[in-house]
Amino acid sequence: MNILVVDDSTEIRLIIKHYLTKFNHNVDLAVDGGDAWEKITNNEYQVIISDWKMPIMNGLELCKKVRAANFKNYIYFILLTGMSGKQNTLDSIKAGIDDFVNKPIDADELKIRLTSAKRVLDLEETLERKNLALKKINEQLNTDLKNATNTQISLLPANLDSKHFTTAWYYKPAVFVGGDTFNYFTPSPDFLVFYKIDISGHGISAAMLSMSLQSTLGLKRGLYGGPITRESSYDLPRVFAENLNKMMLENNTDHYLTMIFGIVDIKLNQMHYVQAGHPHPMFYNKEHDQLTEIDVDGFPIGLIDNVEYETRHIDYKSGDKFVVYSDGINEVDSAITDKRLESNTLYEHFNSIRNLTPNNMIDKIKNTWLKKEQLKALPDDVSILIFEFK
Amino acid sequence: MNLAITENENITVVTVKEARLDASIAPEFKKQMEELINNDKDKIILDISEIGFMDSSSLGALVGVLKAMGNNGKLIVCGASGVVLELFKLTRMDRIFTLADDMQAAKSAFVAEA
Repeated sequence: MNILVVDDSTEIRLIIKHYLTKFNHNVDLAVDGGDAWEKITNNEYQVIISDWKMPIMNGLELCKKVRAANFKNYIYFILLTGMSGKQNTLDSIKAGIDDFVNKPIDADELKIRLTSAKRVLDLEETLERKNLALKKINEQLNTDLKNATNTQISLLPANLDSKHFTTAWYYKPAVFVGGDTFNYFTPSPDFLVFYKIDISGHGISAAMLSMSLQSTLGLKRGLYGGPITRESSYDLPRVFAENLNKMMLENNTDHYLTMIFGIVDIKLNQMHYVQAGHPHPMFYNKEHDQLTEIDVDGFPIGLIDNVEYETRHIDYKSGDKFVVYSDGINEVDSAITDKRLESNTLYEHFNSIRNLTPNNMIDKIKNTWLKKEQLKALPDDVSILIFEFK
Repeated sequence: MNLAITENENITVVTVKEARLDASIAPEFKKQMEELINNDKDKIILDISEIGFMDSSSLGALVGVLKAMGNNGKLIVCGASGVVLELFKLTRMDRIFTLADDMQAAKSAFVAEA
């Protein structure tokens, strides 16, 4: 090992150097703390053996300085001491001293103390190596996950601002990638199909299923029971839910999902939808300036065989809104009231922004409901989708 | 995962001693419950009255337990309240599980059957 010996006594420096050289170590000498500090900053030592009482900078001060500098490699610090007493020992350990060697110097003791130093330094080095490897893997994983999130978000539909609808949404996954997903598309000029899905659990496994569903739920996959017509659209949500339930159970994953699936008949100003275990959606009636939570319950998809689903219908007028959200928001405290955003509290929050445009509603939610520090570590995905009918 | 298990007159009472049943303990919960069922416990009362929050993973685990029991026995879930009961209703699981308000109601459900 490379060892620096610090002592203002020439005699002690030479005795220690003699022993250390005999034990096959490389030795440098310093006459006081100041001299030592200069050598430490210019060389790489594994061990420092230093006297306590010295001019300019004493042993403890030197040790504190070494610890504060936080060198890349750990330096094992041995204090030479003729002093005894509990307080001295405690002060030394507090300053960062690792071990003590008594004066007068005994060769055997010195040898044993250095064996102990070697053991600690080896452990330190192994730990450091493992930490570096872990840190590298962790950085890779984080980058990968962040990229995955971007991919996931890029697959979500753009806000719609057409002759018939305006939409806006908010999406924040719990652990980078999320199990929530949604989509809307116009299979023909008369209809808009939409779904909002929350895969049970969250994280990578839920996200993979949600990504795969995003492509499976398209029109040509047999889940819709044939082409969409005015007649078929009326009960399409039930058919879709039952087919998807069957498909999920056949696939035998550990996940299931909750969903709101709907089809809007643009000509008739009517929406048909099914609720499958997803939180109660909210409907805003512009004429009466009233927001209502729709009390509708249904089985989640992929949990129980052969259960029945029910299509519900809503007639809407221009200016009405439909709000769907996943249950992730129920685990977040409101930045406004400090209460959990669930039940009445959540309703009141939505109610206070019911008159805004979908975009402004989302802005309010994003900027005033959710606390910055909570957003960094959400327990579950938070996603909200708002439709305004024109 | 902390379950208190007692047995009385062939009825196994499992009390979940946790404030939250979520993804971090759901797999272990399911495993322990399945072990009970595999050991021929066919009358189980699952007391979840201490649980204040349940997430979707744990609901999935509960359904797994119910499926493991199948037709070989009966599982009664007792003491669901607040947001936990709301979750059961929202997902219509109140129609899949036999729910009892409290321990006494759960026990008398078994007695009535016998």
